[in-house]
Amino acid sequence: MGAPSKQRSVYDAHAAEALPGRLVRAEGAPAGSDVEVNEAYDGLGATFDFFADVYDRNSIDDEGLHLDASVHYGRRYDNAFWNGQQMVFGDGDGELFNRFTISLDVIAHELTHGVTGDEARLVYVGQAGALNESVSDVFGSLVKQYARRQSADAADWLIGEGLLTASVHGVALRSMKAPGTAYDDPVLGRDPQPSTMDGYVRTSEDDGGVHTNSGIPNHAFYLAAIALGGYAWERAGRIWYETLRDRRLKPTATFRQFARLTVQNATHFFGASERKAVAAAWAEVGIRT
Amino acid sequence: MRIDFRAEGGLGAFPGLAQPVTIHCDALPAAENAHVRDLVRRAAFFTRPVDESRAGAPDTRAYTIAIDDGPHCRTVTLREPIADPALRDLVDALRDKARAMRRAR
Repeated sequence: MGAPSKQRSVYDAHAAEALPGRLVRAEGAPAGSDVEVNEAYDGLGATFDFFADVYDRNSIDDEGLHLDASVHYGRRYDNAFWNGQQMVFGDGDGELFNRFTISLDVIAHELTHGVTGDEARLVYVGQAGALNESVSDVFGSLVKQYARRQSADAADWLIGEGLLTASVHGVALRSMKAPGTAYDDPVLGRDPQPSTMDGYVRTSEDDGGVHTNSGIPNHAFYLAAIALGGYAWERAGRIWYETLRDRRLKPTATFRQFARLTVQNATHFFGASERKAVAAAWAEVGIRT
Repeated sequence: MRIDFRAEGGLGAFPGLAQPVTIHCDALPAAENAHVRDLVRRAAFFTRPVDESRAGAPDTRAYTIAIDDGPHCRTVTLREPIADPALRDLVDALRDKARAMRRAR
């Protein structure tokens, strides 16, 4: 079998919400003048290359799934999502948000939802939902770090840098290094992410706080990556990836169940020092393994 | 007509954007009042199912819209992507209005 080969298609939704829209760039076609189209095309490629090069994964489903994305979705649409089959990007409202293709880690975040849906199928509610979100942030950040060939200590560990306009008091959507510090703005509010279990938020909003409590496993990954040093995708990333693929990981997994599997996989795939670093990272965010 | 509008979730799930807003349509300029009422009528809001919030895809937003218009009163919850263009137009307009109200605070 040959090396994984990517097949990308980028569509223009022309401010409508019917998907996918009109095909504007297929695999191998040259870049055009539309920035969003080019960013989406390149972001899909960078994410595909990361999973193929680092983890020998052939696209989202590991079976060469074609990567489709629609840009210019909706009117002033200030969001991006993976609908189970393709990527969808809004242009942003221009007041608070720039175009949603601007951050490579956001593109990779959304595509990783596809990987999670194919592997662990973590349900999108409560702690399992926060793990689902965190896994997308972890690999979103790693795709950016890999594209820049950055070591863990050189990375910014921000998710969505550049997405907020200059009028917003903030630097990104989330910070894995320092959850709760990404923004503090009169309109957007204050970044609510906790970094440890002491700040765990019990809520019914946002599917049980999936985008809030993800700060806890996000920070655990950051701590593990920094402790292990070097390129984060090589050891910390590999441990998290193998845990996502681990058949023992249930769709309803709790933080502790996920954490225990990462410790076991650290031992299985690496050794005692990696086990110690991963266990210490989870302990520092308040999760005993 | 009074409209209570709330959005939650999305890629950023910003707490400030999740704060509910109340729109008193009769206090709006006449043209805007008429426009909002027309969007509500075209969306057939008062006869819609109250729960259109099927399990959503990751990072999609959920909305809760409550409208009180004298004898008519209904609360509808829904989730992106919104298939009905008329309902989508209403949500877009309410989202824009909520954004403007928050910036004016």
